Amino acid sequence: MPHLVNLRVNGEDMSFYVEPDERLLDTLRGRLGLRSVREGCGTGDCGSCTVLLNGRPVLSCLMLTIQADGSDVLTVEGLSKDGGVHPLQRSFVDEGAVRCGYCTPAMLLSAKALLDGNPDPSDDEIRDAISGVICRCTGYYSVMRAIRRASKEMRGSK
Amino acid sequence: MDAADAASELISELERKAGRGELLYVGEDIAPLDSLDKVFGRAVYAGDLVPNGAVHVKIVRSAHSHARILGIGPSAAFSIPGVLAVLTHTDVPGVNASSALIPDRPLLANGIVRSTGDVVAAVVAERPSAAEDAAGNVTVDYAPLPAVLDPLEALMPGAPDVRDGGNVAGRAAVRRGDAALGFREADLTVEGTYRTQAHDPGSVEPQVGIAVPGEGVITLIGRLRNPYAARESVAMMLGVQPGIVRVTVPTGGGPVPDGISMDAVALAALAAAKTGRPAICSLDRSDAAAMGPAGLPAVITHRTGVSSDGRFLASEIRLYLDAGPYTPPIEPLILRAALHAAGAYDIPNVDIEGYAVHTNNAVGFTWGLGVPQASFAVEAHVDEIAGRLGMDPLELRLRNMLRPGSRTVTGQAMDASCGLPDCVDAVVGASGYWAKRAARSGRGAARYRRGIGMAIVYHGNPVGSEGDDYAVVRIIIGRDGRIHLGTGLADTGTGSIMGIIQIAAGVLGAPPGYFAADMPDTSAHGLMGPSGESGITTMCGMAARGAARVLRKRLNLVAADILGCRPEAVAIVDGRAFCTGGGTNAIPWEELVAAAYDRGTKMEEVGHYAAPKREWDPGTGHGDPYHQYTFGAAVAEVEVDTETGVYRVTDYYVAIDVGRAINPAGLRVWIEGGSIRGLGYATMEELVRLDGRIVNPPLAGYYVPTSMDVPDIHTFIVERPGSMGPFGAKEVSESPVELPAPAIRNAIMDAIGAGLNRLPMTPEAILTGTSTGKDGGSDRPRASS
Amino acid sequence: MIKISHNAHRMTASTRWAIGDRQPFISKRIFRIALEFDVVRPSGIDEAVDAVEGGGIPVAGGTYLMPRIHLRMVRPSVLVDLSGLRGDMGYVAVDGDYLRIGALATISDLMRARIPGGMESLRAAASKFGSPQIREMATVGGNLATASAHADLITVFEALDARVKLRGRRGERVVKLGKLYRAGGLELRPGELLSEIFVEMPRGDHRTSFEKIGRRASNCPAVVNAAVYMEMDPSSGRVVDVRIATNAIGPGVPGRAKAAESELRGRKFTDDSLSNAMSALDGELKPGDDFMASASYRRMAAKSIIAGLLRRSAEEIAGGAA
Repeated sequence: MPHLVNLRVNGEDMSFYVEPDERLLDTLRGRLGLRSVREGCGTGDCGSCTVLLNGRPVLSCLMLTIQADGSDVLTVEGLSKDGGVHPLQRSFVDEGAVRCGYCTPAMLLSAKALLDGNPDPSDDEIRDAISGVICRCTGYYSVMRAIRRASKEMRGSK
Repeated sequence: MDAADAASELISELERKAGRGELLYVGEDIAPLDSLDKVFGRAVYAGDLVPNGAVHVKIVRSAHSHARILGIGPSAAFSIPGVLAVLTHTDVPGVNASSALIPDRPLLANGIVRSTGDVVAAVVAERPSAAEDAAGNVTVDYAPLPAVLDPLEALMPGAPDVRDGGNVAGRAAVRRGDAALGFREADLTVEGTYRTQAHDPGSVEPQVGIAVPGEGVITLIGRLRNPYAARESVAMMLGVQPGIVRVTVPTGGGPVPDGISMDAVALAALAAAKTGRPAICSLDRSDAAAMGPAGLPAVITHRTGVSSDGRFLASEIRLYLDAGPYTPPIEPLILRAALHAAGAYDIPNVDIEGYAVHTNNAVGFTWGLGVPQASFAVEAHVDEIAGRLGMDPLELRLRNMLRPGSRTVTGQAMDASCGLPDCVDAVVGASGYWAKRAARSGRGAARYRRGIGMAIVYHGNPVGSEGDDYAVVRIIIGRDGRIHLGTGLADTGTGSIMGIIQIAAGVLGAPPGYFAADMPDTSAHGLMGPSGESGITTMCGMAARGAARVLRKRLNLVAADILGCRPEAVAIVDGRAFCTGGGTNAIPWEELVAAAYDRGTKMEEVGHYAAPKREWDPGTGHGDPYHQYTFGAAVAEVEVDTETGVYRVTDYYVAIDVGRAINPAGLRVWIEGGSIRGLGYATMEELVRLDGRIVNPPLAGYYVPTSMDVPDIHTFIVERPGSMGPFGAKEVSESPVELPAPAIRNAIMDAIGAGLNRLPMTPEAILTGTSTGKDGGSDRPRASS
Repeated sequence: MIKISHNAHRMTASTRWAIGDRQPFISKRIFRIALEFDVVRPSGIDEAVDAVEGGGIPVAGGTYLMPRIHLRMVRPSVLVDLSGLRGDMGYVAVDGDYLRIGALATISDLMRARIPGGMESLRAAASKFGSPQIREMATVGGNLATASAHADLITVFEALDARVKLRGRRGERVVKLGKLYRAGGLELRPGELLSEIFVEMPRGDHRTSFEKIGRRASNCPAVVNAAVYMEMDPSSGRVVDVRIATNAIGPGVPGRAKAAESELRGRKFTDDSLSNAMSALDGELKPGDDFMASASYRRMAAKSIIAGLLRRSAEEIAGGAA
């Protein structure tokens, strides 16, 4: 029996009916066309399905949409508005942290969650923040450099 | 400043840049052009392209490593609502194989299964859950047959035959000098046996194949390394002309451009043909791991004769690669492993034999090159020899390693393009290797021990004697000035396409931003891309350079006509054409191209590159099997807890001789990424099999490194231009992956006084000298003297 | 044959920073996970108990259950979603002499809470738990309810001598954590749910600690884990109380190494008493054997970890480190 859920997705309030066994991943990808949210494994091991739920990183492949009822969801599509570019997006490009790109949305969101709560993170804190996203291309170094760079830029512009 | 001065200044700046000639954008740190798409989440992967109305295909894999199929009972499957078909080999219209290159590997098993990776049936249903449930309901009656699961056992007399014709799938030999004589002259002979594990690339994007039937064409979508081979294979399987099959390759989650999507794509094509509807076949992690590609597990034995002052006099090596039950073009793979088995050393007498061995293991088919396995073995063995001689392993390497003037195991001469000494100097210097080794004497009984170790590699490129070094690249300059590059290569994050663009951009004088790399599409234009499985940057770079040069000549003529100078005097820099040596007129690119079109100039060119055949005689083992070599060296530092065996790599130094760094920043990231994949290969990655069945699928149970596992890394790029690649560029590809395992192994040996001879190196292996899984006695570490 | 209706999957590239509109063909299909099931969402614990008694499988964070549903290891027809109870049951609070943790407190809640000093083992285990995403979703109660050999919090709470509150049809009862488990699962009456975990705040000079070994540095199950609670008289070195928990005690749920404890309890902590404890430990450890590690390795590693935790605890207490 379908359930009615209310979500705020990338700043936009919406309501729709979902199946009870529908995962947040399925809703975001399938219903809303937010393809940046990816299914790499379905078991919560790769992190590519990461979205921010009320500002906190969660694995959308393990969460039922009805469990997210009433929540705020952010995906990479909502990271920059009106043709702008978020400092994290720019720094990822500049540091060469974008290769095959499969993990990039999950890395960006993990970084945003970190910097929103901790604008001047240590290297260890940066490393820990992305430890839930698997990357096979970069070895994580350029991603960490990009986050460090973005955190400086974001602090500087305050 | 008035307009005339400004124009002058601009021209001076352009003239200055023009001095770089074709190297205008070589050596520039330019972000790959699709980076923006990717940070906005807009890149398109196979899973984004599932058409409406698609049916879902789920496979039923063999439950046994070797068995006869007595019967397949699909009726229970049909009791699930939404099930449309249960496909078996009788449903294959053409040739029952997923790949034209491995014709003996059935798409769907016919009467016999030879590994747990074999597919017995494929269920087609309206919804993935129905397909999954139904797949579980297909009953298969098996009569198990004796299975052989170890390559050495497979070679023993009396071992069951995996295939008719015995268990040797392929072999290669490399010989130099007189090994028997070399051993007689040696003061010391050291033996060792080394083992490497079954390994999965662990790419994050899952394996998905899509087939969309249309009017007179069926379109296939998947992460396919060789779209043309895929087209031929599926056409053969469907029993249709290749022209009816169209293969497109979207962005892929890399970095390894796996070939395993072939099965997914072929099964989707079959389902689409049967139902007339679009079909998607997605392989779960267990299926993908069982069907390949896997790094082939290997057992490698070394016997080396050395003089007391540390010269390698003779080397006898036997490699046994577990090739599973089927026969991919295995000889090039075995040959490459054999040619690299003796390591980056000048050894006068060599006797190497490599065997690809059939077993009933679910190894799948792979385009892995055998060099990571060979490198681990030889570099571990060199440290064993050093231990026996009482000599520092670096010193031993310095006495024997390749440098300008020395020769490889086939007698190929190393010239100034041999950057191995530079690589060694870089990592040894940066790591403080000598001081740290000296400080380690008198290890004591400390619980936590530090160690420092090193490894060197060389890597012949591109394909060389294993196959054809041939590539085709097409460049079309559109009327709007946009430059379209067709390479047949998909983007999986290797950075190769960007490198090719930078080469072509420099030749044309137009900035890389004006380029668009076309997605591989076999229907777009004829055969593109390299014909082999590697050599992307070098061969495609050469082909692109050739095409760009032709187009540039044509543009020069047009510009000369407009600007009033000789064509030889035309310079094009950052998209502006001008005459060198006087004048302040510059034509913007778009205008130049439009003018070219107006004059009827052909703005499309296909570049072909075929490297000269290599001269190498398999009989004598003499010759030059590769055009050029990439070199690398690494130093690793570890800290080992001798009570629990838990260790961490604290620092890692790596230097790669890349010939010419086309995109240094990108190269650095590639080397870093490859080093971490090598770290995983060395420390944690292993497909564990029980009775031939994989028990730990990626990424749940098969662990790959996270950010918490990475050491401090220091990367060095050495440039000793090669003779073949564009502007001297060499293939970097997997050299960074080949270094961490032996470097870490040797660091551990320095720390605890005993060397591990098996991968992966787990805490248990360090503590007990063995690890889980089947072991031979020679795994036990030997204490150094 | 069906026409291809849209060919939009071009890979284009541009450094022009304008965002082009290239909408590829996307499917509006919802791809559900492997099985279809229904979900009830109780708003209070009594409702939840009813639903579970009716056969529904409780799910909190989902980090343990959902992967198993995806892999078809579990096939529920009804899930009971407990996330609506987080408001009432997501607390981490000090209440007089007790630290009380609601079953639906997440691992992140645990890390962010101001847990009074001396409970280092909780923070240590939480910081090594899974990944940041998993810590936001997984709950303390959920982890305890897995009855898994790899559930780090079971080890930690065993060493803290925790008790759990179980809420069922006939009200509430309290049991020691260890009594929650039986072979192969949980010792629960029909419909019972874990509602709270509570620990008596340690008094006196004490230390808690936790360590684990896995196949990689983070986000992997513990090959071996161990937690120690030690209360010691700093001047005499006499061990007032000690509790040792480890998943090496057996192939299943982590438990207490009581024989080792009794060699230490009431005695002065010396090399001898430690050595006796290790011998006793050797006798009572029965670790599991699997592809991650052999039983003999687990035994060696467990002994090393536990000895280390014990020694460090004693040193720190004696040294008077606050």
